[in-house]
Amino acid sequence: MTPVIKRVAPLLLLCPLLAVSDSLVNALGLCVVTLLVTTIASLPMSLTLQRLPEYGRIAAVVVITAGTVTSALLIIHAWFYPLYLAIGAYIPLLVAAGLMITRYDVVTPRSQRTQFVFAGLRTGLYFCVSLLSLGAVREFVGHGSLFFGAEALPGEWTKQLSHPFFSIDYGFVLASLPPGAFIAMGILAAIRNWYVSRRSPVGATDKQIE
Amino acid sequence: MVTATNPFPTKLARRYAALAFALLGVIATVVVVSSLANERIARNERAWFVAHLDALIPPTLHDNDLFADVVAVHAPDLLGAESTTIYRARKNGTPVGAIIATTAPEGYGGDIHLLVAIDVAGSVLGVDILSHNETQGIGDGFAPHRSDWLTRLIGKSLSNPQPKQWTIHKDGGEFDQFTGASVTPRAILKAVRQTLEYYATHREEVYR
Repeated sequence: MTPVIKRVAPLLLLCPLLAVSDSLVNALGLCVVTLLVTTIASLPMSLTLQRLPEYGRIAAVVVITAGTVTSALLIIHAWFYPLYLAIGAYIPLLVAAGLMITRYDVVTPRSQRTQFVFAGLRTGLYFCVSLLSLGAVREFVGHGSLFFGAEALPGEWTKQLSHPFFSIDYGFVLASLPPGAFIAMGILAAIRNWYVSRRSPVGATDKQIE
Repeated sequence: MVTATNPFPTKLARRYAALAFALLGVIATVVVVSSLANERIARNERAWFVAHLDALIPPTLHDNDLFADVVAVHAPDLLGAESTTIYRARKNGTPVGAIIATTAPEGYGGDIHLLVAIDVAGSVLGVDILSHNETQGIGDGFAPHRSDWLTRLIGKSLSNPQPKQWTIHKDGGEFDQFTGASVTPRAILKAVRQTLEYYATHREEVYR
């Protein structure tokens, strides 16, 4: 991959998941699932990928990712049904997040196997940070609340989380619609780039999201 | 063994053994998980649906199992192109009402699937939207967290309001549209009215 594509690819993979980030609770639920899926999927990948020729790796990556995501969907459907009702439709999209792991160098020596698992965890974490900030911004602007629908998350304490700030009727509807996801992501990326370039003016373009 | 200097064993068989193990491992995992999960999934789906039925006709009003006392009907002109299901509520064998699953095909985002509960005399006991594709924040003005629009349908019947008034204000009817959205409420009202019409003309079949 050329450097530009390498930097843009994760953003493209984020796109199908933008639909989920219309509320903080959906984003949070999906974050936890993503973290588990990317971490768990990276373990069998680290064990098999280095033994495979280049042309065999894509098959293994697809099968392992698909299998992990399918199992995750079944488990949530069976044991976390309220969460399933809230985000179940989006879980198959996590295949994209699973594939994202492979942009890290897949052929790691055995001694670095744990690093591969950490790469999976790191992918999930980056992904979570973007998803959560998008979810928070879009829910607050579009819906006037934070943690609306928190009762879908497992546990008793989640029922008190939901906090309305102003009436939905005054919300800026665009923020919760799919185009709002792109606009919010653009603004967040701009803020991040501005912050990065302020801290290190020289050579800052390297770290910018393009 | 794989060594750092030669990450790929030269023998084809060894290369593909890894792939085959990965495949088998994944397949075995999915099979085990799905066999453990399937029964619970079916139970969850059923419980979810029964909760929706119970919210429309409270269990105190009937003594039969709504989920089991069903009849499948097909009325393309009134209840949508697909065959639908009617859940009958009875107390001591006497009909007290029915919940008719129907589809409003004219939603802004396509089909809106709803349940219409009707008491034995033909007035609405409640309406529940099961699934829809309406624009979030605009067309979903019926959603319980946004308004009490659906509850305002309770008690309505074919004669209250008059058939001509069974639509939104904008079309001369007596129901509110949502701010910025009239297609959705119009579609829902039409589906509810047609369900009432079906009930009025097919009462015998509904409880048979």
